[in-house]
Amino acid sequence: MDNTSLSHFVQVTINGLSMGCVYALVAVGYGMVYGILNMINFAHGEIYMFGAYIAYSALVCKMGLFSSILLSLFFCGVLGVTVERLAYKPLREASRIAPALTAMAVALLIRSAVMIIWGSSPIMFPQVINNKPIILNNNIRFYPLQFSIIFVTIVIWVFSLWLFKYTKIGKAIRAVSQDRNTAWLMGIDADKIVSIVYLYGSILAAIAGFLIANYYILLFPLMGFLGTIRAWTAAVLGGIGKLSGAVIGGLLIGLVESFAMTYISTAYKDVIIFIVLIIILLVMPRGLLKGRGQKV
Amino acid sequence: MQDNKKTTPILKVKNVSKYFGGIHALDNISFELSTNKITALIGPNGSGKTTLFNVITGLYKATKGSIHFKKRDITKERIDKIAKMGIGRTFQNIKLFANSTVLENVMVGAYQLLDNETFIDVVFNTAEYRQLEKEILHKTEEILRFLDLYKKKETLVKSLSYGDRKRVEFARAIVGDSKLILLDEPVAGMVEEEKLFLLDKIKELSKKNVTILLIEHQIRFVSELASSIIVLDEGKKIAEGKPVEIQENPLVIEAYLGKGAR
Repeated sequence: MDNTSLSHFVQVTINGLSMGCVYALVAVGYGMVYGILNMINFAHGEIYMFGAYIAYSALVCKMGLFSSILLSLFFCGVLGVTVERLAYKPLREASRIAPALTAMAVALLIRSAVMIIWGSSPIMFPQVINNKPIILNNNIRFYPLQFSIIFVTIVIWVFSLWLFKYTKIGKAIRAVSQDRNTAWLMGIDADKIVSIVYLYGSILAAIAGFLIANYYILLFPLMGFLGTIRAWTAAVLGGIGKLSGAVIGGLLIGLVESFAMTYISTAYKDVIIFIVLIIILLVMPRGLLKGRGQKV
Repeated sequence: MQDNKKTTPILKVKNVSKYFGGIHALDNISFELSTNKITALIGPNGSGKTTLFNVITGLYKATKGSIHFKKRDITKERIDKIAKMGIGRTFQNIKLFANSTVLENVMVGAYQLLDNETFIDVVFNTAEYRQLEKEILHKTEEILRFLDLYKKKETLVKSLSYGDRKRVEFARAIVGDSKLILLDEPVAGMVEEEKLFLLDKIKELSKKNVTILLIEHQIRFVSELASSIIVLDEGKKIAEGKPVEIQENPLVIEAYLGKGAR
């Protein structure tokens, strides 16, 4: 490999990793919801999209960067918990297909609401973070935003691992996701734990939404659906229900996407991602980290 | 029931019925459990024993009737609240968190003790909270030693033997200082040695200010353990009394062996 193609390779890897981190953040929340309720949450990506739009409006109204992020986290958290309480909770005892269909309806509802409020055509996200690339030798461009994305993801990953392993809430979440009724009978308020999981997942989605909006500087209503598909793929690839699985799956998809776009074709990137998914599931049916022994 | 008037009942079940559609799983059941006694609940398969446990612990809501625990009405109380008030239980088909360790499983039961912690305590792990957690850990380890499980505390439950799992479940039920423990066939399927070990522990426990209600199939086995027996058949209570009386009760014999068995 000569020097230019090597630096090109490094560049593609950096781009892929930062995209992958965003997918990982969405996938972690998605995977947690799946883990605790065995529910395919088709509305998860919509919350990520909604968060990006809220941040957009806040920034357009000249709110500060930090308060815009907080506002977006707040709205997404409220939306996530409200949806769970109103739409999913009454279906706890129903068959698995009912909440999944409801989630699709919720996704349509949120997407339509966003289209009514902000319009259906793409809008430009105000560039607030100074994103002047640092040019390393060999002409590798490293954007500060990519660094922030990777940094935020690592912090959240470590925090989540700690939360799951060592805190009371984490233990309660693990107990409820293994057997809700038993956990309940042991004095854990299962409904509260489920809401906390939704809250946490929604907040992670909002963070991811904010980062992606800054990265692409573009918002469009369908980005939520694309987010759901990416999160689903990442979570399944890594092993559904596994926290680190979702992160690894997200990173892998980001890398595959980045390499496919550069070396093969932009048009076929999704096809290539799914081919990778199929191959991995054929060899390791429960994903890279051996998630739950269930059909996905 | 009349002879127990001297001690105050810890649990009072009054005219409880549970219907699933047209099926009367429990039909007008009433009884009281006096404090610090071991009571056995027996009856043929499908007589409603486990359903009764589920109604007491709140997993099912009674169709009719009322349940009082420590003089408080718990008939419509939330499941987790009932557990926190001090009713622990085990299950016929063991329900443990298979992907967690023995220690973690038992600690779930002990966390009931922590009730006054705030969200901030939990998330930021304050010194005060760490102290509480330390106490819980200490208590859990004590119970694990009591049940001879200490050496296996870091083992994942899914790799334990059947008898060990039964003991872990028992540990989880008692660790939270529950005043009433419901045991659903605690020794079923165990080898003789394990059975005797657990029997001893149940006896020991009942001396420590704990009331026990247990489901068991074999009358003979129950007789040496329990001070009184309640017999269910097809959702109805058909007898209640001391083991000797129950063994000779014609209704009970009929329920177990069929008509004309005498």
